[in-house]
Amino acid sequence: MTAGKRIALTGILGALTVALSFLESLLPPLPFTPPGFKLGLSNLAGMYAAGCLGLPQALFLGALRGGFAFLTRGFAAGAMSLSGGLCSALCTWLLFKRKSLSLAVIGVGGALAHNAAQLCAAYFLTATSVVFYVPVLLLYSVAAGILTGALLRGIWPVLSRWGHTAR
Amino acid sequence: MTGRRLFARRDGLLLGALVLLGVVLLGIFSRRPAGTVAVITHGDQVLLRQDLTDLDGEIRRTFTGDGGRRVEVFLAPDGAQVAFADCPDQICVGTGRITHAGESALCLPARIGLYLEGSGGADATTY
Repeated sequence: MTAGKRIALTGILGALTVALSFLESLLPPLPFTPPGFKLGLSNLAGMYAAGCLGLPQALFLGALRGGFAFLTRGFAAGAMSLSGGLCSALCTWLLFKRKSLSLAVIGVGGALAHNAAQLCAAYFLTATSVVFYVPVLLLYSVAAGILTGALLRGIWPVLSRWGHTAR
Repeated sequence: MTGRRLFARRDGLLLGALVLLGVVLLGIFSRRPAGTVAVITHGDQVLLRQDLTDLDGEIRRTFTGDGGRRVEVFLAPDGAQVAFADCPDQICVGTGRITHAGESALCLPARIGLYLEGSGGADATTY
């Protein structure tokens, strides 16, 4: 993939991640989920970037999502989104390097990294213990990670048509 | 890359182990003792430490956090909860009533935290 195509595809994925992030914020809370729980749909573009474009592009998308949250929902939401997005991008990129790992495991790994980083950010923002959330987030990370892995598998051909996979 | 499968052979084992870990932790956490002291913080500053066993009934306290955001906390002998927060997320309000030591409800936009401790805290102290 040429540098120009890579930049163009990163731009398209950036628009997609912001649009998904906005759409997800409009969805009502899902029943039987902890407060603030989100499926992580906006992470799909970041996962694709981590698998096909590389770490800088995946980190850029995480930072872009954090910046969008900062502008639309304030500092706390921006800090939470940025920490989760960057950690998730790094973890997903590392997991994609292992050829034997499935998309479900990569999705779950990304979700776990995202939630772990957000718990740390919440602790630093409020200096309040958040350990109590760990078991619930662990269980929901597995469910959300499998779902995002399945969705990524479904939309992979569409995204690949946009920019031809690099590897 | 496109040939990567959704599930591989040993995924069930790994994902099952994660779910089991979550369930075991949930079981351990649910056996925590009842919270007897409610602590409300703003950042790393303690705004109020209230011994819940001293309360005869329910009381409400309002705190102002970052950006002038108001958070109203409801304290009762058997637990505490954030009753109102003027932020768009409403995550702290959605957390509902917390009753066990170690549980917390956080309003991140206001940077106000409410958590419960076990017995041994100081009597009601306002800073």
